[in-house]
Amino acid sequence: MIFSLRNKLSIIIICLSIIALIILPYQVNDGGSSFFGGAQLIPNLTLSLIIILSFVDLVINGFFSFIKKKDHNFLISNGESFGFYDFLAVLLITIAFVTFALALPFLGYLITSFFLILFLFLINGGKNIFKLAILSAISVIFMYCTMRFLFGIYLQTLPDFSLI
Amino acid sequence: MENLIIGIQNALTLGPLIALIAGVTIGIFMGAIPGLTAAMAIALLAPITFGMQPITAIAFLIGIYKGGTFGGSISAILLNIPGSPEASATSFDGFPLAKKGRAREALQMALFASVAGAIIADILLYVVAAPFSKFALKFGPTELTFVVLFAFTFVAGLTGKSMIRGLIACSFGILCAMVGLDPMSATPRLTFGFIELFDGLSLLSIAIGMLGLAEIIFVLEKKFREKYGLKKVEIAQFGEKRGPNLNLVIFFQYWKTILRSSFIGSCVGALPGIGASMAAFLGYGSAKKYSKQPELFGKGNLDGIAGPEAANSAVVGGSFVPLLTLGIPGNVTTALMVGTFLVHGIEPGPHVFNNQPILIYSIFSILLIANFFNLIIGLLGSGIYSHIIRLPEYIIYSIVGLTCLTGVLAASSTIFDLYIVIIFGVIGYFMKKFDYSFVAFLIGFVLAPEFELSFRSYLLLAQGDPVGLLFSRPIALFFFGLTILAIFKILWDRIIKMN
Repeated sequence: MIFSLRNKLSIIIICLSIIALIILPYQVNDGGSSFFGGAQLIPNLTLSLIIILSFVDLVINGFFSFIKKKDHNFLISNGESFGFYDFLAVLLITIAFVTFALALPFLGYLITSFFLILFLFLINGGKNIFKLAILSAISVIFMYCTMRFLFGIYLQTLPDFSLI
Repeated sequence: MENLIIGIQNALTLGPLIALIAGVTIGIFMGAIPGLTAAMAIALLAPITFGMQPITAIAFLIGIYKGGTFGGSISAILLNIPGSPEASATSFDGFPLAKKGRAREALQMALFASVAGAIIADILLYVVAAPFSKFALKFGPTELTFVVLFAFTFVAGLTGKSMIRGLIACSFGILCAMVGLDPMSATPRLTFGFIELFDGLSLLSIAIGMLGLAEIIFVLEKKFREKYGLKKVEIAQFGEKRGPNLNLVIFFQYWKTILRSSFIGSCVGALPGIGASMAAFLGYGSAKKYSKQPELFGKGNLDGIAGPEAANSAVVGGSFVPLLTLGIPGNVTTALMVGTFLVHGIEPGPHVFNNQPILIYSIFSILLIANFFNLIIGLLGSGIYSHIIRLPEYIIYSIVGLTCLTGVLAASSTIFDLYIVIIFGVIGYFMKKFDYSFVAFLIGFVLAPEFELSFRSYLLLAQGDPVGLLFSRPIALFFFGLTILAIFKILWDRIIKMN
């Protein structure tokens, strides 16, 4: 269990933080200022802190895992695994929302929102697709009207195929 | 005195009153649904407040906060599923009472205790805040640096189960806040060539992603686990009989518990990072400790509802003390409120008492008035809410999903922010899964600009001798000592717990 999922996550965080430390000078254009308290100060400090703390977390976690042959309760609270279905949940929601963001400028709010909410109904356990479609349409129209007429916020209503 | 009267008059105008009614109604509804919290409601609905008058917007958010705190107890009592984390302790005695056919009595005790606790805390806020703000005016960059450092440590240490992970989350929050233009030299930082990032990451997009989207992923994950029999979720029984009303004479017999818990809640609320859940458990613990019948706790004792409910509601008033006097939010909800305050040109902190005294008194008045709306809407709506919370989960969470995206679209009108929501939704999911405190992240994100400015000013003022400057400033030294003490105390408690 030394290389438990949590420890692997700590290693990933350390690696990402080191990469961030390397690219940081290219992302902060401070005109080559050598002053310690410049624009790079806090990003450098926080990244270093993340690396050090993740390393400490890794060592302590690994140490207790090695002694007790299991994840230590003190350091590990949820102790849940990240299995196939967890991955599937993350993937489905991400795909649904990214598709919504990509399609919105072309199809408009009403159509994209209708399909998004219908998809969410179905993957979350809804069964009767006809009823769900009606519920989706009502929800989307209600949301649109609330934004448009109650709060005066305009959302692109209809498809704009000129963007394709 | 004149400012106080004008503040009360402002709070009693039509706009804030309607906003309060709407806020409390939405807050109770969101709080009552397991998994949805007042903080999430504020994150989702903050965009619609941008077009309102400042005082109306604040009234709306305060209404949600107050309503959400009570709302959690409805599902805790009726379903044995706390609607929000702070209602967990309420379910210990609330649900047994509901099972005995005394659901109405339990709900009314929760409501009355909640309102009484909130009123006591709001009065304490009124008494404490103004003098404390005068003291806070003495704070310069050195003091602010160490006050914020103390808040970071305290929040990171207490909001998760691992202090190290809390500090990592807090550091990550600070790092995310560094995206955009440097506040001193106005040079772009960590923008990766995206012009949209020159203004920095939007608090609203991050909060909606981490609170809303992450929760939707969790619900879907739970569905999959249930469907494929990996982990069965316990289904609580529903108390069918609603039973008699709570006799007010009986309610007043619990005044000692309510008063004690209100003080506990106010103190806990004033400290950053501890939160309403801890207050509720402390309230429950003290009610049991001082009860004449401690053996009845857990079997349906009204004392066991009054204690946690008065305590968790008192946290609301308490949490406004550091927010209004130092500009430091103590929890997620007040951190999100800071974002809305700033949109309306209100910068919380000691200067706001001098610059906008009428606004401060209006906020105090709104906090007090909100309790009465909470009482009325809670009394009238408990029956309706108890039916609504039984709606299928897939309907509620799917609509929440669409609201997340619509809210961000309405606030920013750019597709770019939708991607920010998605990215931070996934990050939030993993942070929650692996116990990297979201609260610590958000407090880090919100306080980072203030911290950076004061820390860099402190270094400039120190002229190469930061230790010398620290030792010449007693308030800064006091908070530095508190930070060290907090680290050792939290670590010591963890080691004892571990052993």
